[in-house]
Amino acid sequence: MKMSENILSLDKVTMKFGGLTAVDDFSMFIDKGELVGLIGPNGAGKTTIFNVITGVYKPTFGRIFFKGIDITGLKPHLINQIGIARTFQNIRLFSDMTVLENIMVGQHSYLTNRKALNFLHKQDTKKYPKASWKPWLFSAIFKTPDYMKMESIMRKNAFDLLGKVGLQKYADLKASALPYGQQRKLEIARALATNPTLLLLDEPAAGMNPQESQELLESIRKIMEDFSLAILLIEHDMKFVMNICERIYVLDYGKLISRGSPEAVQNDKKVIEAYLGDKIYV
Amino acid sequence: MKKLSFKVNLILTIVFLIGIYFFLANSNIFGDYWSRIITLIAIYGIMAVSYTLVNGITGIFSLGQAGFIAIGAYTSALLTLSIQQKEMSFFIQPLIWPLNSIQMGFLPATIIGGVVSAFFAFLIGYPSLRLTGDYFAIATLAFAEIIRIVIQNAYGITNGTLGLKGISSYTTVWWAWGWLLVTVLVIGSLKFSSYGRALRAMSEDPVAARVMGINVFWHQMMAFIVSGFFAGVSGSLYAHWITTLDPRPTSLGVMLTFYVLIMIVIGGLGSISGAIIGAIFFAFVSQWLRIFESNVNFFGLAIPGVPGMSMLILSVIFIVVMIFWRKGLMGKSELSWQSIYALFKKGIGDENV
Repeated sequence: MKMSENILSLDKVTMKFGGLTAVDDFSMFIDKGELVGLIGPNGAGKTTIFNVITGVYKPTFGRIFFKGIDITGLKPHLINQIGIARTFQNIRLFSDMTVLENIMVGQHSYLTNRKALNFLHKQDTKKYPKASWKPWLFSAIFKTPDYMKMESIMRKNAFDLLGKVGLQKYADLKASALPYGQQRKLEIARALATNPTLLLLDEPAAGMNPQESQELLESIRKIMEDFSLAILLIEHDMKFVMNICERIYVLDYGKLISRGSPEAVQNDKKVIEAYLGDKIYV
Repeated sequence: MKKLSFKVNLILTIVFLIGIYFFLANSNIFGDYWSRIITLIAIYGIMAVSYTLVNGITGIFSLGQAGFIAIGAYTSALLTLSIQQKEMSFFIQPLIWPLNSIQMGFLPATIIGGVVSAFFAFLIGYPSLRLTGDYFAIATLAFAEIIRIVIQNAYGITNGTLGLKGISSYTTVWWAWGWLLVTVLVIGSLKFSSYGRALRAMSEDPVAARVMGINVFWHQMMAFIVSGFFAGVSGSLYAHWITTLDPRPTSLGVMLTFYVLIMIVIGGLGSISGAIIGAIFFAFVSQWLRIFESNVNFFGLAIPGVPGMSMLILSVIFIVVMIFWRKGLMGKSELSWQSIYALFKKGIGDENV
C-alpha cells in the first residue's frame, strides 16, 4: 500500500497495554503543509498515538506510513532522522545545558544519520541518494578542519533558528532558567533543529495564559510557513484548536468519534457528549 | 563580569603547563616516596577521568571500572615481562602459547592493554547496556567480579593466586602524566564536541534524546568503549608502578572501583577537572591517613594502630563533603581560568564590603 501524497498516514492502528486498549483501530492522514488537530478528553489516547508515530511504542496492530514508506516499528531515533520531530506534554528540555546547546543537540543527528539515509535509499533508490560515510567520531575527537567546519555551521544554524523563535538573547542561559512560555518555544525550536517535515506538538499551549497562547499561535503559523512543515497538534484548549487547525480528529477512549472541519466537529453530537457527558446524566 | 580573552586563556594555560612541567621535572626533591605518590596521582587521574566519562558525562552508573583496569594491567604486564621471568613465575602451570614467547616495550604493551580492555567493554556493554539504572550497575559489578575470579583461577594465563611478580617499574612520572594529558585531551575534546552534547543530553533525559534522533544505545556504547580503553591504560600504568599483580578483592577488585567512585563523586560527577582534583585529594588523603594505622603518640596518649582505620576516616571525610557540596567540589562544570578569575573577583568584592 502506497500513499504518495500524504505525509503521514495511520492505517488501522491499535495499541494495547495488557488488557487496556489505549488506541483502537485508528486511521488518519496528514497532507503536505496541513495543520491537523487531535483532540479528546483526558486519557483518550492522544499522546499514545504520538508515541506510536514516533516509535516509542510499537503498535499492536496496524501500519504507519511516512511519505509512503512503512515506518512501523522503526526505532525512535531513526524515525526522527527521516523527518518526524515532536515535543512533549510536560516539557522535556535538557535543563542543565544552555539554550544554544539544546538546539545543537537536535542537530547532532546530522553526523550520525547514515542508517536512516540508507533505510530511505533502500525504499526508493532514485529519490534518496546513498549516504556517504565519514568517521565523525574521530574527527570530533581530533578536531579536524572537517569537523570544525561542521561545528561552526551547526552553531550558526542554531543561532538562526533561535532568532526565528525570538530566543537569541537567551542563547547562553541555562534552559531551566527560561520562563515557562519560552521553554515551550525552545522545545519547538529544538524539534525544528532536527530538520523535520512533520512536527508533532503535544499540548503546546498547556499552562499558558490567553495572551501567551495567542503569541504561540502566531509563531506556529509562522514556523509552518518558514519551514514548509505539516503539523499534528494535540490540544485541550478548544479555542486554540478551532482557530488554527484545518481538520480535526476527535478521540474518545481510543476510538475515533468524529473528524472534519472545526465547525463540523464542534457541532457533532458525539463530541459534545464526550466532552460534556451524556444527555441522560446532564 | 569581564570575559577573559582567548589570548589570556592561552597564555595562562601555557604558563600552567610549564609550571606543571617544572614541578614534575623536580619532583624527585620530595624524595622517592612522594615522587611515587605524584606518579600515582596521575594514574588515579586517568582512572577517574575515564570513569567520569561513563558515570558522569554519559550518566550510566557502571561499577565495572576495576574489571577494565585489571584487564589492562594483566594484559600489558604479560606483554612486558621477560620470557625468563615468565618461565620462572609460572611454575604451577606454564603460560599458554603466544604470551610465553613475546616481550615488547612499555608503550605498545600499554596500548594493547587499552585495546583489549576496550574490546571487553564492547563485549560487556553490548548485552548489559540494554539494562538501565541500578540493573546496569549490578550487571557491571558482577562483571568486574567475574573478571577477578577468572584471573584468580586461570593459572595458564594469569598465574592465578600466585600473581605476577617482577614486573619492571617502567611507569615514571613522565609516562603517567603524559598519559593523563592524553586522556584529558581526548575525553575533554569528546565532551566539548557534538558527541559530548549528545552524551550530556542523554544523561539528562534519554527519552527526549532518543526522539531528537540520538541513538542512545550506541552513544552509551561509544562512551563505554572509550572509557574502557583509558581504564586499560591506567591499569597498565598501575601494574608497572606497583610491579606485582594479584587478584585480591582489595587490590584490583571491587574496592578499587569504589576508590575511583569516591574520587569522581568528591570532584563532581561529570567534571573532568573535578575528577583530577578528586584523584589528587584521594591519593594524598589516603597516604596521610596511613598514620592512623600505625601506633601514634598523640600528646602523650598512645593510640594503637587499627588496620583499616584510614578508610574509616576517609568515609567520614566523604560524608562531610557530600553534606556541604552535594554535587561534589566542581559540580558538572569545568575548572577554567574564567571561573578562577570570577572566584578572585568575588573574593575582592567581599573584602570591599
